[in-house]
Amino acid sequence: MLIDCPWCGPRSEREFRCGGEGHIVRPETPDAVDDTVWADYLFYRDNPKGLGYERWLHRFGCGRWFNVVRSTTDHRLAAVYGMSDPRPELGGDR
Amino acid sequence: MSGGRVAGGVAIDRSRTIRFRWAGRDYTGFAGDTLASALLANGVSLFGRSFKYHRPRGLLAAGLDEPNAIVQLERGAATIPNLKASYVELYDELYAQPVNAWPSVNFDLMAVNALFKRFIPAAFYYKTFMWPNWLLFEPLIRKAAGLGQSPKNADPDIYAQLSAHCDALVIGGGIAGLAAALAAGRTGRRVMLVTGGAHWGGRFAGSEELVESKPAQAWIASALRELADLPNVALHNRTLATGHYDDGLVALCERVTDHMPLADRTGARQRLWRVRAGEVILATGAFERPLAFANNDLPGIMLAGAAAVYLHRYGVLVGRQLVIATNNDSGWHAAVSLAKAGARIVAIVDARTAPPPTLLATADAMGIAVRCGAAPERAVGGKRVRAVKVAALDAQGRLSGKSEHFACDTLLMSGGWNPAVHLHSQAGGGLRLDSALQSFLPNPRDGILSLGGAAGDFSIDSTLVAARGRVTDPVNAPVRPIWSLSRTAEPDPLAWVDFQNDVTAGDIAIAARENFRSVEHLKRYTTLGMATDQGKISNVSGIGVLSQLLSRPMEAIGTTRFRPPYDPTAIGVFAGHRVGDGLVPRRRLALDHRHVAAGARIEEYGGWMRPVAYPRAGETEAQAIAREVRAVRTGVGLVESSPLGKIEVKGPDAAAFLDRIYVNTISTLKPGRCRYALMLNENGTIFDDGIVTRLAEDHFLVGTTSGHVAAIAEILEEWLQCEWPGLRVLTQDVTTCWAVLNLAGPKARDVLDALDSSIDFGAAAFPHMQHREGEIAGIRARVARISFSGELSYEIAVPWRDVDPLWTALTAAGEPHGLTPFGIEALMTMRIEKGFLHVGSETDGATQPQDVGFAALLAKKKSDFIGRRSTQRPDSLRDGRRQLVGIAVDGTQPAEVGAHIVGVGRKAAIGSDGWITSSAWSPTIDAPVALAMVNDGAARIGEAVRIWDLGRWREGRIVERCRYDPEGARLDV
Amino acid sequence: MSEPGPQRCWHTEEDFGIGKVRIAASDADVRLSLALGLESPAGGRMMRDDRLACIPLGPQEWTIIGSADAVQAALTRVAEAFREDLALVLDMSHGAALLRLSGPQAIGRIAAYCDLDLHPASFPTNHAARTRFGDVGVTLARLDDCPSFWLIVDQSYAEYLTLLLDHDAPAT
Repeated sequence: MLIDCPWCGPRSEREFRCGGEGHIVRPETPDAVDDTVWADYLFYRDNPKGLGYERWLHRFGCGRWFNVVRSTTDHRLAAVYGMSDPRPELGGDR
Repeated sequence: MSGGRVAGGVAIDRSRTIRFRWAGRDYTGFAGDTLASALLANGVSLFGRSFKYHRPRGLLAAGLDEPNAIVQLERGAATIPNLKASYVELYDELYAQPVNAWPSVNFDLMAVNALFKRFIPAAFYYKTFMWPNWLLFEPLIRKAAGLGQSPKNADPDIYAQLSAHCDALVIGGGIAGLAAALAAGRTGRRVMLVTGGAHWGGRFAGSEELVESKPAQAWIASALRELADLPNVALHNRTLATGHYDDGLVALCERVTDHMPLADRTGARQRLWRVRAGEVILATGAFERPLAFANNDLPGIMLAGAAAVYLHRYGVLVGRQLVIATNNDSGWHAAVSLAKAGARIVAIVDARTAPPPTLLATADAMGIAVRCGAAPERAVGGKRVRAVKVAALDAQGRLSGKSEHFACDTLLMSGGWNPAVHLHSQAGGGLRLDSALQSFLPNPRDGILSLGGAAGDFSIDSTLVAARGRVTDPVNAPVRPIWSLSRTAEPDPLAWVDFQNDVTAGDIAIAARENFRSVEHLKRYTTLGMATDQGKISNVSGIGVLSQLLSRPMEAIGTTRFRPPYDPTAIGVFAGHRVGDGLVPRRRLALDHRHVAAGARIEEYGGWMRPVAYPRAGETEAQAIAREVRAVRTGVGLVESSPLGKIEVKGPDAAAFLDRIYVNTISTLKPGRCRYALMLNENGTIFDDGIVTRLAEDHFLVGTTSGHVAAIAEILEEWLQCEWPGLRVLTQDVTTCWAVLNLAGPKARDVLDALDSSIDFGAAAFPHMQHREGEIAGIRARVARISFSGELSYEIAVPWRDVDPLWTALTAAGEPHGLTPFGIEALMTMRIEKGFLHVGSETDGATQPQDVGFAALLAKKKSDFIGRRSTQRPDSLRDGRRQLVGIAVDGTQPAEVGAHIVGVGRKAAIGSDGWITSSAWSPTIDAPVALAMVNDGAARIGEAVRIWDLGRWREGRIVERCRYDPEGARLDV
Repeated sequence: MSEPGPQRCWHTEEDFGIGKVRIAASDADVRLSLALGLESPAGGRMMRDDRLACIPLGPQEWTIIGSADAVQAALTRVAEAFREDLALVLDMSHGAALLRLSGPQAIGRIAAYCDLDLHPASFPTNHAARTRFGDVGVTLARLDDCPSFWLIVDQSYAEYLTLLLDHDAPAT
């Protein structure tokens, strides 16, 4: 894949590391949640066929994490946005 | 009668004779020949034996679609199995052997298999040879199977890799590719044109075809001249596109020296190109398909287009007395070419009832007999075809009526053409069935353009128009699909579809009958399309046969998934430089030369080359390690600890940040102090441990194990960027800026006091677990009084390139005290004696702090940190978890790491209670010492246990893990 | 140790300094260029004069290259300019190796291990990037149209880089 790093521009996939599903929310007070909620945070992921949220690290480049919307069927990147930016809607492209 | 050399051949140079050896005999050919063309020119027709049934086989094709003429090239370390003779360029002293035939191709003992064909059809191994036990037959069958010999030596060649970028990558060097490269090149764009073979011009090179009113070869030569003059165009032959990936990434395999005599080869043998192209233009042509009729695999039966290529490119006439069997126009053109070169065409047999009148007229004028609406029924012959029986086709495409007998020495067949859509499909391009061609065409896709045969466009004029950028809609005359020829609805069990894997139309019928009806199941059940040719000739025919059997349209059946590589590719080319020393980046210590000079045996630890020990003359390594341990415990020793991670963490929120990272509370650490800290992952597992030093209110030095430096530097940044972007903290890995020497032993202070430094090393001035900055022997230093050995110990960090004078100064000052360099094994022995944790030895993917004696630490901290919540799960809190203990093993031999521990006298207990995690001979207590993780270990101190150690039982006892100075008094001196 | 020769298009620099600067302040790039006496470095471009070069590596992250003395002096000025801010100003000279590749073979050597497009239109003089080289991270900068490049790498990987640069290197 060619990945468009928000800071460095388009670079080969080999410069990056995929950090798995994006927008995983860490419970505000881990103490206060039960094991089911904690397990969900640790292990359960959406695994969509089609567009999904991921976070990536430009490991061999600027060292920055960022978010993408990527299709798991044809690898197409539909969106690239900052770590703290709000996530775009996926649209009907599932 | 067989083939031979005639006039012509645009690829060969008759002024250069080449000598080579095939199947034990010497032959000659010309420069530009392939092994196949040279052997054909020498009248050879038997090239090998088929995979399963050892049937005699000859050449079928002229390129990398060749399924039969599979050869073992060269011998010894240079040997390569399973190359296609038609894709091996001839060079001086080439040595090649057929595969799969013993003792020779002519007399092959395994040909007996052919007699048992009825019992070993497709998927036979699931059905026959099952009783009494399949495993009895498996070794025999494995021995009988397989093609070629694997090399027994390491690959002696070098392989290179290269990245390239271009606006347009044109794949295929035929008319379509040349035209596309010219069109793109003339606009000034960066163009790469590649072709897998040595020659340019593709299928029409040297033929009578006209391209823009010029003879094909003249047009090709002119195109090459213009392309060579364009500075923005690069041409690469012998460069095969082997994989098409996302975003215009194409992998090419360039054969740099494979065409040269062995003695002349230097440098990389092959090169992997990774090309990023703005546009990929596929001019990859099309593969001709055979006809499936009984005994269609006899030597002398060949694809019509291939015969034309042997004539035009190599000046070789494949036979003297030919029958041509076809269902489309191209078979006729081959017949005419060969007739003009001196062959006698016995008959043209066209399955179509009404072939174009122009073709009929030409045949008539040349005196060639023609049979329309007819097809071959059976070929006759032993080691070469000598006749073919032909019969009429009825309306359903079945053979019927009386068969006619034609004597011949060669039979050319053309069942139609399949566009080479592999690269299009690999990148995700879709396919559709073209009813005229009865084959699959590429659907349009952004960034990928298919031209010529690859797009199903077999008109030169139309292809040139398309190559120049205009959209065309090629129309093809319909072929008559005759997927398998038989007199009944049952396909013939001797009609070969996949020649290399020995799969017949009858085998496909078996698969359909047994309900393996999807194309992917058909492939796996029959092995059709699985050999080194990956079904280039056979895939579409197989789909056609299945389509007829199931009465299901071909487009509904679809194709199997196309995957790279397109053609078998040496693993070395994907490895490139990643072999030997280049496999993993290796790093050396700052004082590597000093360690070596001092007699160290160096070994790799986690990517770093480090001293194992410093054995002296007459000393075994074990003796050296024991001596080094005693020296440190009684005097003073020196070890280089430079690989341990050092990460600067700075900012007003640094302390709060580190509190969230570690099990320990870091914010209470005072400036100038050190703390041993544990780091977990979110699953509660111990990930790393190390010393954290506070340099100032807002400035810390995070220490990590040498193996985890990069990972932890990344983890710190990950939490700061992703989870806590509001924290004001900056980090920087400075590990290789500082070389570290660890001076350890009761005399360590004496040594340091002898040096000129700005730091006061006195016991009260510089207590244990504290840090000072200053100068030692004039060198800027950061010193931590921390200990992994359990003795008085100082870790002295100095700028990397300044460490040599420090070594000199320390060894000089240490000499009167018997200062001894020591290695990793001595250090590990000492930490095992002390029962200190080593992450990765005692810990595994599930070890949590409470398992290794840190329950109190865990309980103490009330604020959240990474992994805390996971240590509160029921499984983390239960009794009986494995816990870190010591094991006192009877005898003098240390137990092996991994040796299982079994409780004594526990009647109900089966299996392991845990295992040894670290082990060493302790010269300090003169006994073996070991650490282990044992179920409920903390409650079982003193219990006798048995240990299963490398095949024998040993006795031992669970003991406290610290076997030496448990009070730590030696640290407080 | 390595020298340029008919067989090598590269050599390692000996007398140099390298500094690393990370600053958490919104106008950091402007104030940094003032402190260094260089033009403000924009994304992907190295700012240079005859004493110093400054390469942006990421948001609010720069590396400074020059002679050992010039870099030390520069780092002192930078630390002073950002005394009141959150800044990490580090002399990384001992942790880095600086290689210089020049001549017609330089691009081929780099392209053997790096996926960047090195064509002068895509990677002109003074363009710089942090990227992957073989299996390690490097900072790559084009110095002129000879072409000449700087390759900055962690010094503990210098031997590995030598191995790569010599692997199947052209004979002339």
